[in-house]
Amino acid sequence: MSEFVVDFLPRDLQRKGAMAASRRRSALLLALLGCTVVGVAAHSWNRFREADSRRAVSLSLTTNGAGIGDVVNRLAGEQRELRRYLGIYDRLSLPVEQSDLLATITHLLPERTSLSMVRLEVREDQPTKVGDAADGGASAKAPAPKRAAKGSAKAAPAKPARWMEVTIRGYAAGNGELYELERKLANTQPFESVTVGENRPTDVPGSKIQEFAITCRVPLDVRYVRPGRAADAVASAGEVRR
Amino acid sequence: MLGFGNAGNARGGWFARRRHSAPVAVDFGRSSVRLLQLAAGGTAYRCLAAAEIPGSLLEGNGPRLDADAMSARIRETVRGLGFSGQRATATLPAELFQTDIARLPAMDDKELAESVRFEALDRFGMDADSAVIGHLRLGGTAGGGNEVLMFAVPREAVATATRAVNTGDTAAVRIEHASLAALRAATRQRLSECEDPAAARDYALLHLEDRVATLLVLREGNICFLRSIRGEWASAGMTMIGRTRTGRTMAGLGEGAIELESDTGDHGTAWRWCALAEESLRCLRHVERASGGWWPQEVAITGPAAVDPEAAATVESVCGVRTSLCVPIRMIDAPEACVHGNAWIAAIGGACADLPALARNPRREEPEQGAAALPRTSAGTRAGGRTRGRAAGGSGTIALQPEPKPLTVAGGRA
Repeated sequence: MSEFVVDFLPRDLQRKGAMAASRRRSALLLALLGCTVVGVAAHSWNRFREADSRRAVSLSLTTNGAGIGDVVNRLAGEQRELRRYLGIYDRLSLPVEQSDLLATITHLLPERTSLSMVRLEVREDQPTKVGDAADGGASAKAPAPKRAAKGSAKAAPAKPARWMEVTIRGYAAGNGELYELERKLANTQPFESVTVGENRPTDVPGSKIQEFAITCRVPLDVRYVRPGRAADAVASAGEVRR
Repeated sequence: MLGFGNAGNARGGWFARRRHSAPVAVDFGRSSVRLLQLAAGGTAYRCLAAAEIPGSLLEGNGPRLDADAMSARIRETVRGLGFSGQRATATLPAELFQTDIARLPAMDDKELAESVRFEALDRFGMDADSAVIGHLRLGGTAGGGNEVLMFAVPREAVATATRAVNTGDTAAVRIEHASLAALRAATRQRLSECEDPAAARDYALLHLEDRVATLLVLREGNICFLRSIRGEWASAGMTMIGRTRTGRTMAGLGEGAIELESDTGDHGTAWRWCALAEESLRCLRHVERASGGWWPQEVAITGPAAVDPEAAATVESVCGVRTSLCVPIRMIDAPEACVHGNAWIAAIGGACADLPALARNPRREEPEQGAAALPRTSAGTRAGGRTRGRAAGGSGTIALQPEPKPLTVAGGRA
């Protein structure tokens, strides 16, 4: 709304003013464009320098670093070292004390029976695959403990079954003492798969004795609790044997 | 330089300028240049920035500056006081213009512009290259012709003002007659504040400048008459130098109020106003004859020289029509010098040209105590002069009581 408007601004002066305003606007836009170009150029230069620095560092690492074979060998060595450490750990951290086993065996020895050697070896068996279990592939290996057989039926990958191979060598006065020892071992936990592997008469001055070798297994995948200790502290770990 | 800047709207560079802001009004006066920028409001325009620069492009009361110096001052002011936008409208004082009314046959606008150009150059005796011609249709005549108000202004004055306004930060988009800008402001104010809308459409405006008084008669919202009356209308004590000496500052920050009294040595005031009133009466009678007895309801006096209450009193007593000083109270919110200063009326009119009209905000009249309500029309007292007391005006006017009130005694005896 504009009342009583009589414009006395001539066209040429109006055009001149508009051109001046247009020139000023153009100058401002050019300045803005220049600032934008300079800013973008500075930013691009910084990015270029940063990328160039990264490329130089990468090139230096590529040139001075070890090859892929060295890296693989180093990783394999580290893996072997790790396995060795794990083996040592497995031997050191058995669930059952070897002295307890030796004391138990000694305690089970009948009269007129002596030991010449007791060997305790930790062994493990890789879990059998489903296909191998179906076609009886497990029979080609040493008989796995019961827990390994149970674990193989499950779909989830089973942990390697570990057991302790106990080899007992000694001398008995006769077969009766030998069989008594075998029976006691078979009836005593945690001994399993008690087998008389060797039994031969041996002459000694003045008499005859039986030289024997008994093998049995002690499963290591279970928890053992000493008599008198509470079992609830380890109940969650699975099977508990006393 | 005196200035008023909106503190919350500081100029923050060209990016901060609002593209669609109202233009900056530049009013070239005889003693100073006034810059004003308004924004639309409800019942009052909001002042974005205002400034008054001492000095003039014309030979006047203040220091005279050439166009380049004035342009530099305007540029500093625009940059420093929170003006926004590039567009500027300028108003030139009426003394630069020559005006006349011509009766021309009915024709379309293009032909009318050409005819007015030839007619104006012939009547005013100006060269076509040295004058800028403008015109305004006043209305039809009985014979089917047109009454056209013709303006002529020296092209050099327009070029000088344009060069002063085109500072690089601002560019002139329009140059107007100061009286027409003042008429726009006064009409918008009256349309907003008068209880009777007819009072805002049928009135006469007397725009007083130091050397030229312009009488504009508005009938039914259209200009029907314009007459420039030359004379020394400025009060001797109200020049720019005098105002500055009395401590007048912008934004109402100064100690001194705007004095509405003339200097004690100004003894010729009454004779000046008497001559002006008689010339105005002749003009009103001419309009009355031409329009078949129509008479304006009120005469509003405004302009840079409209600071003497004797002017309103003299015009009212001679013309017999209610007369008041038109002050832009309630039309803009700040600064105080603009609100209470008639000198800013042309700047306000130029600044509000592109803004919407004000919302209705009628001013209620308060009946005078101890006196019966008087009729507002003054037709009955036209011939015999003023015979009654003044009532407050219906618009944003200051009702004057120049004459002493009769003393009253208890019991009703004077």
